[in-house]
Amino acid sequence: MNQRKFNSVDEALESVRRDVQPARDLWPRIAGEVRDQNDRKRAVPMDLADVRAARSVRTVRVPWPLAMAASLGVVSLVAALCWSVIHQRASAPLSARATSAISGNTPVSFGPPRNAAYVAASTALERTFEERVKLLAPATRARVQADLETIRRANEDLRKALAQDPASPLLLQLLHSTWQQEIDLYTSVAQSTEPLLMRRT
Amino acid sequence: MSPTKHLSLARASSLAAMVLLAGMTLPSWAASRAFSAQKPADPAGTVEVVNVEGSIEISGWDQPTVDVSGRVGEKVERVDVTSSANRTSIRVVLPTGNQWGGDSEAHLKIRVPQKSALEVSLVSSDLRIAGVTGTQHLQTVSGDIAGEASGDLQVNSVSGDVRLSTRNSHNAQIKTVSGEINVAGADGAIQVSTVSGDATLTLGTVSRGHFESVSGSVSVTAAALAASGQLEATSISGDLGIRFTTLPDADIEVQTFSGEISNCFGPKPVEQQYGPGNRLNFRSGKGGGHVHIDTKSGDVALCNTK
Repeated sequence: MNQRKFNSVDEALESVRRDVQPARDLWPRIAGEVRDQNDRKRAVPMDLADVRAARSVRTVRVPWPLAMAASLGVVSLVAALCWSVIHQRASAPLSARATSAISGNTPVSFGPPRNAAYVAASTALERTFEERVKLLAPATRARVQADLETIRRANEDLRKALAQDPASPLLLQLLHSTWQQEIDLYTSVAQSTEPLLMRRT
Repeated sequence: MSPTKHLSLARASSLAAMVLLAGMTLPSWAASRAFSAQKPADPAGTVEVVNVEGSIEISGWDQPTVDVSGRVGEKVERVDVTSSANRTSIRVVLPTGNQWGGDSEAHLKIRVPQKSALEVSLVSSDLRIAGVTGTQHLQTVSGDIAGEASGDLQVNSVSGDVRLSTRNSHNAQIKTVSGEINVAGADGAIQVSTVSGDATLTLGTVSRGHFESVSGSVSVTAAALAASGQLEATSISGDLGIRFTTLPDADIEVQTFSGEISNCFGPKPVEQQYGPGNRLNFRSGKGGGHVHIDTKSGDVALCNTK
């Protein structure tokens, strides 16, 4: 049989004719795979809430000039890091998801990236945010925290929806967006509160 | 009680309320102080504005000067207006260890050379802009942005609303979390992202449009889609309304998992044969452009404006 080699599942899918209807209804089996993946996913203990809880345990206070310099560095680092991570994920999600759907062996994770560099930078950025948000006027702080809650709730809803529909490009795209929006919010607060630190000179 | 007596009692109450209101307002007004400063500026330079409470109004004028005037609260330590090379900075400075409470507000009117680029970063401050034609990078945390903007726009508002009419704005990026977006007049490349705020956009000819929302509704009215233009709108639960004044030459793909699709242009949407949802694919006019609309549970309306 003449089998062409493909570099990715995306490429393989591209080669499939779209005008041919499947011979049978594929949905029941797909739904079954999704249910199986959900069962496997429940067995994975680490999720965003665990990461956050782990982060909150080790809060280190540093002098503010160091914190400011560090936070600026971290903001840049995390923005670049997250951007690259999100784009990296965005560039190959379909292949990863399709592979897992076909083989049924790879558990699908829709949490944020878990590599050490990402987690460290993310922790530092979140810590900076927590420090800076306290500098805001109470009413503003309340609005910002409500907005952060909105983003996190949206993220959680998207992850739940992805657990039901792991092959949805729409859900994955918006999940990435909510990560980016959370980072944007941290960065906005960090940048906007710099004058409140500067005044202490 | 006679009507006359009732009337005089009402008048007396109104008078007392006005006196009380004036009494409450005057001390804070009296405690604030006037501020004014001027600096020569590059006619096409950058003006940076930083404020942490109050309001800022920026307008363009034909002088090579940045002019700042207004009132600042008793707790404002100073307003720094500095310039170096082609950059002018206006920064409101609060004292060391400021605790919130009291009057930390600065209400400033700033006139800048009209071709200036703006970099504005505000917290708890509303922003109004008019008559500035340079690139504008506007960021607020809990503050509304309103007025007229020109040039390339980058707007990031955490909780505030964004209401802008734009002219000659061919590249715009607008983000909010919960604020509403209302933008009119932009064309070219435009990117809008919101989590829960609604967005209403009245645009010119769109070459690349990307509109994204989680739960806010997005309504786009575009004069046209450029040849080979791309328009993408996505949401989870927000409704998506896309309207064109002129029928676009584009391949159109619409998909919703549990929402409804209404279409004025082409064929009726069809239910997915294998799996849930509704889908609508058709070529409008000669094709060449691309319109992609995708929502999980929102409704989609694709129509013309006539």
